[in-house]
Amino acid sequence: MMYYYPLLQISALLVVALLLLLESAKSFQQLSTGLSFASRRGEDAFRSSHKKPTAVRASTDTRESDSFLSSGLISQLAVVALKARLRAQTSVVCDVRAQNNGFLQGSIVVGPATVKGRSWQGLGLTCRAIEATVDICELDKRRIIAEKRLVLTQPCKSRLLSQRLLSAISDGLQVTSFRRLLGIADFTIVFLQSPWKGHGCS
Amino acid sequence: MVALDSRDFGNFLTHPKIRPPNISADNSKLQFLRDDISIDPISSTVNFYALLDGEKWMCSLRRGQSNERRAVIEVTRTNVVDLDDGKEELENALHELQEDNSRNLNASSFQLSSELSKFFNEIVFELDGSFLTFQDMMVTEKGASPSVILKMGIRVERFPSRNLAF
Repeated sequence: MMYYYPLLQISALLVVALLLLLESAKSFQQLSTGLSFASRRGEDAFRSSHKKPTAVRASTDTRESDSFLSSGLISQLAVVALKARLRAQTSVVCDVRAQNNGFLQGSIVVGPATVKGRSWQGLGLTCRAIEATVDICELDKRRIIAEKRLVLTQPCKSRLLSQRLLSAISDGLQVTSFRRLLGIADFTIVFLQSPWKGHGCS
Repeated sequence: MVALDSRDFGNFLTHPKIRPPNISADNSKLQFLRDDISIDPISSTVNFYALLDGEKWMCSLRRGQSNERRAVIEVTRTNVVDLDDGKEELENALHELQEDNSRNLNASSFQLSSELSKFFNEIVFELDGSFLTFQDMMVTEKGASPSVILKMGIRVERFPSRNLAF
């Protein structure tokens, strides 16, 4: 049973990875890098969990490695997906936390998830900086597999994180050139045009 | 949260998904202008322009004190006719006209200010399944140029289409 959870997660993640891989040839190299990175980290964590002397500790470590593997890979995929969709950007950062047992139900549940970026352009919108967070993002695993689409089972809602945006502005925007400033975001805003934009667009 | 400089704000204001309010009196169409937007960190205002019935209005957006009304916009007309020069007979007539005009302008400004404030506070910006709403704002001088930071709520009903043109 100890091996069952990681195998399920890896399978689900690979499905998502393959779908995103097909979405954009442009993102192929980055995606491969992300997968390799996540796989290596996952293997390390997996080996490490087998060195633990007690079942209780191993169980705890397995959950930690599950969360780490999930959040690491999904974050990588989200960044790749966002970069592939934005017309221009100087920074895209995604921090996705996996939910325990998030892969064991009909849905893939992640959260909280934060997307941060600078100088995004897309959809006729522009922004100098953006930061958005949602607590929970629940994806329909069945439809991912059957329809090859990322579909939310419940709407994602944003929440305010912090004032780190201000430091992002003062840190990096002096070197930013704003030529063809077309759009947010998403708001912005909207930034949020990738499947994972839901996590990040606010 | 999203940080916008003056050009970003112009792009936001004039985005096709942003539909300016109809001014209720005669259902006149308001048009936001992309250019000449300024963000003033001293007065904490964002100044932009709008056209209504051929007249240009300056709109000043600032943060309101009320939680329910965080965006406050005050509007003034920019191209008021100068009536200082004229003959004495005409001056009296023009003076009366100016007073009437001024009263109308004040009424128009008040109405436009009210409509625009309501518009910003209640705006719902829909981008292919994601709904953005205005919550709060602040003006900062940090960065290469002043910017306005909008706190926006987002509700993602569905993920944007893969084929959506960026």
